[in-house]
Amino acid sequence: MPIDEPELRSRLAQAAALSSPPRVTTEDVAARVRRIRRRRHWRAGALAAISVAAVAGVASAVAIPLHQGGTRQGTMTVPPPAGPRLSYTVTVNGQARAIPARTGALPLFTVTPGERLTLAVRVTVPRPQALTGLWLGITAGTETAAKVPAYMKPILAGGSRSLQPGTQRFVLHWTVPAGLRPGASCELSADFAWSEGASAGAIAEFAVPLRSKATAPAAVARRLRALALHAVSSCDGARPASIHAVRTTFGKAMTVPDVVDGINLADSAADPVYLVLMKGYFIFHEGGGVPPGVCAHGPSGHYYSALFDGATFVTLEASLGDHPLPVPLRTLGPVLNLGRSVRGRGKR
Amino acid sequence: MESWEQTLAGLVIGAGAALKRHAFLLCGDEAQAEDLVQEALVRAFTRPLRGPRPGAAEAYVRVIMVNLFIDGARRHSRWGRVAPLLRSAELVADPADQVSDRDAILTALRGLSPRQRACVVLRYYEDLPIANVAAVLGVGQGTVKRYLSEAMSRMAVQLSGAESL
Repeated sequence: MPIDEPELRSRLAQAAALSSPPRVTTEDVAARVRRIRRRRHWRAGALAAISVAAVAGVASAVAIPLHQGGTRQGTMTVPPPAGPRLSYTVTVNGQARAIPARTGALPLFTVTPGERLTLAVRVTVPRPQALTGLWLGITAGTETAAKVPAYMKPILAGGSRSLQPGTQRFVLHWTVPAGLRPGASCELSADFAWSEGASAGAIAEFAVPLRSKATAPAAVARRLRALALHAVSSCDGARPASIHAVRTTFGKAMTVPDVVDGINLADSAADPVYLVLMKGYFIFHEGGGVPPGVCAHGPSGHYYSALFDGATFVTLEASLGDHPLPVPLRTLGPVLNLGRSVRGRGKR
Repeated sequence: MESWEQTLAGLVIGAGAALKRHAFLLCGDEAQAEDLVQEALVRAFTRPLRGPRPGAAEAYVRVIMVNLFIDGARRHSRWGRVAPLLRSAELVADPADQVSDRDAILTALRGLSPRQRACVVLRYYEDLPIANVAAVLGVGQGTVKRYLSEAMSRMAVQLSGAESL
């Protein structure tokens, strides 16, 4: 029996009304946005200066204030209480960097796996508010204020004790995990509570630089080729007939209409990106759960293009079409041929 | 000129509930809908180059929500195939709940693929023309019609089954 459209509209509206009012607050979102913007801005300069090509989790370090019981804080109309703005100075094995509370820029320290670090952290608590608890520890990039910061692994110092306004100094020791891979990163975070709430945030970042070979042209080509093939690996056994890539800037890539129709994550026109174009016949299956050859109900096309961030190789855009890009790749930058085809091609 | 903070505040206060309802129909789950709204807002306002214009912010965030939902569903599809096998008995819905119309429509929506669900929500809840649905999803109008046709067939089966209980 077919569904009556007006009835469907009415039932959808009824179902939507089941939804409770949103708990997201302007303050929560604005804090996350400011933090991500600051980190991207700072990271762009830092990466250029120290030639660290990839740091994982560019936009993943976000703070979502929670009640001590674990639910989200506040409602849409009641802003959470403003807490004290702590400032920190971090010294790692003699290297000192100050972090003004106003900008919140995050200093990056390059480390090597297995390295033993001595961290000297000065925490300045502004007047007049005293803290009721402070923890310092290592996190993977996401901080949430909780009664006990179990997400810190390990907790290096702190506890539920009163901390009066003024400067406190902590000396911490931490050994960088031996398994931390090149390009990966983790953070030194602070989690603090005061009489009316709690907050958390990263105060320094530790990253393992890529090996020099990993940024060599041949390594980049291998990596792009692997990413491209992985992107179409669910396409019913299809193999690309050709794969070409060009290193360009995000601003130039934005001028190619078929590449940037979707949503992108990059926020700087000068950021280096790789645009990869594959020619073949690609069929994408919904949900990826369809066995090869069973049906062809997903979108299909002869040209698959993808845009990768030049530093982290995160996929920024991907699109599928039946026509080549309207702009020749060579006009965007030097073109890399990533191999004509995979040996032992599939059915196409 | 309105700052992004002002645009954001206006959006959260003025359209937060509508965005949440939209997300709820996409996800069928309160917590996921909450996360989806927040993530879409953050994504929208962390792009200085292509951030939302004040007048079009709500539509911009809705597009991001749909894309995030589809991308997220694609990423979690592998887990989704395994999760039902691990689900404990107490999490299975009470058949009595399914009698209600509203639960039935949510159950029917859950039976659709993410793109089909997005099409149904955009077309029949948001009341967008086919051309606009196609533009939001980045597919052709014919594809949208096919998704809708398949979705309606599946939902008809689901809903007739629920009504016969």
